[in-house]
Amino acid sequence: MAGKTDIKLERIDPWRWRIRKDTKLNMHVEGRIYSSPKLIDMVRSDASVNQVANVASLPGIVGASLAMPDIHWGYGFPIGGVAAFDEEHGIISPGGVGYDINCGVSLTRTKLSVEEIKDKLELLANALLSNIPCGVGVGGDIKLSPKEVRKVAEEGAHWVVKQGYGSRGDLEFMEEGGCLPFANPDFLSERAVERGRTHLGTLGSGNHFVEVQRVDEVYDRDTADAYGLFPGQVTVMLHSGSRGFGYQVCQDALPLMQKAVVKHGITLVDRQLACAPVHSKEGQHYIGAMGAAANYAWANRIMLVHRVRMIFEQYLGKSPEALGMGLVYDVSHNIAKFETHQVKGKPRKLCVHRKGATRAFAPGHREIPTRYRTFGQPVIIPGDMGSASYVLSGATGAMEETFGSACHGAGRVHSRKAVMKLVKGRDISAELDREGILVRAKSRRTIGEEAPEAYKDVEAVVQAAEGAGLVRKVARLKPLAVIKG
Amino acid sequence: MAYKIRKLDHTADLKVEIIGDSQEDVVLGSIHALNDEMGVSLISEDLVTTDNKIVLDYLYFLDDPEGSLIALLNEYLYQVQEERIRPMSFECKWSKEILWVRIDGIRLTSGEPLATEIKAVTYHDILLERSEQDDGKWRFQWIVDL
Repeated sequence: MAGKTDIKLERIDPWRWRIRKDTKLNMHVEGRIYSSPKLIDMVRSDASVNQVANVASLPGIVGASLAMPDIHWGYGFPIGGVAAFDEEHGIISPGGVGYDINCGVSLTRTKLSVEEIKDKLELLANALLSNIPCGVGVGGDIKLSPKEVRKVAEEGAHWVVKQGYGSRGDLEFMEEGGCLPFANPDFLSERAVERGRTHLGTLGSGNHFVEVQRVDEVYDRDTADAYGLFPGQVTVMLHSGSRGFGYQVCQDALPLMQKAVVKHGITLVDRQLACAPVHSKEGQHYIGAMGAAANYAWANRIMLVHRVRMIFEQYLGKSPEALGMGLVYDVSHNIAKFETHQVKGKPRKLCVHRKGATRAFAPGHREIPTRYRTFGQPVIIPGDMGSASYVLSGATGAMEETFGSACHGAGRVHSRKAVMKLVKGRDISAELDREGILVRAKSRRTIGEEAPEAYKDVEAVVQAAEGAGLVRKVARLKPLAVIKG
Repeated sequence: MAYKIRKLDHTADLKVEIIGDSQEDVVLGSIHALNDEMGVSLISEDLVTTDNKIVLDYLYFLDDPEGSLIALLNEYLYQVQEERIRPMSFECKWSKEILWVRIDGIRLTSGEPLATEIKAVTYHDILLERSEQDDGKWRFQWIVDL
């Protein structure tokens, strides 16, 4: 594979590897990679380790440049990267958030058992594909005015709930309540606003999906009870983000950040790591716009959840309330936020970047919904469409070591190009169908690119995160029907 | 016009390398590589009339050549993916200080699906150089976020 690392990794224990601070001249802190003996060779096989070291060179970084067990080669930050910067003296970097700002996952529970939907699963899958706008360049059936886009950007999920999508009760079960208060629509370009007009309520393409699942195994009954999960239950997982609106915010920010780097005398080893001091004009501009895109993403996902509920109501003849379709949780995995963490025994306000990493707050944290607080924040980990997804809960180790963060998925192991070669001549849909998984997609190419072989073994990733004490396993979910753009 | 497009492995995304005889070649080769990934073909001249013809002109000062190229490619992505522009032809001039690109085409009125959504052309691992490995030709390398 291209880009194999030349950096030496030091094994600390079976779940942790270190990149020494003196590995590269400009590193301010060490790098730390959470992995396992099973996964570490895959980590070494691409340039993601170098990217962990590169992030360690950014000004104001605190603790260590971290990578979660699903780490793989990204652009700028590695995917699975976590980095916290001092709020006073550190930086904010669009490259540490990515283009799909607040890409994330939501999980909706039902009261249904698999038996109850078995005969209607195909109908449901077809209806989800045809009623949820998805696919490359597909806009939604809602066209917002520029004023409405700005309201979404300011109020996030709250705005769509006010319009009758989702419910007020959903907001409690969304990270940050579905709205970042520092969002500032005044920092949005006209082009971003324009792109935001037609993308609300759309899924997108690529690795975005809606998946009807069954709870296959419960590992921690008390926590599963609190999350409302039980064996054999039907759940719906959804993966999407801020769509073209978020891409444009990132696009607009990067050229400004390239200039800010020169203005503030910041040395970069990778131009995609372009950044600005948090309190600089450029930093504040990006933070306001990024917050707006994050809010748009939460609004988008709750609108998609609403569509799923409507389809279930139509085909199962019961209201979403009667079907028990409450939100388990909605988590972000591409974001930068201000959080207070203990650093060397003292509370410190930090700008935490999670690029392909999920917040994983441990039991007792005040930002966890009351109903879950004793058990820890739900961490939703989608796997590939042929294996399983996991519901985890944040654990103490995450608070102590990773600024309350854990992995975000299985993590790719093969590029799209490579996986298309691997699956050439195979009918992935038919293969999955034989295993009892219905796949519906707008594009056959997407099914190939997203074939199970493209991803690491999600079980190994989850085992590494749990082994390191970042999370606890709560439940495993198996796919019944997968809908992709 | 002579260029070669190489698509290289990148775990999450796609790395592209264009080898060309001149800077103009690597610019045009990059646009065609994006077209190839998105499944965009050049439209026939017969479909273009004086009423529907769109001409897009772009001018970049080359104080930061790589940055200007990234800006151009992202602008092109925006025009194709959001504004539904479909190209008929391209012109490009690269002088010492200025890059000028003209895109002739039309705007589609209804949706025509693209093969792949490209979020952006990134600055990561970007490289524009005369390559000794390639007999002194120009090499431009970039990574897209898919």
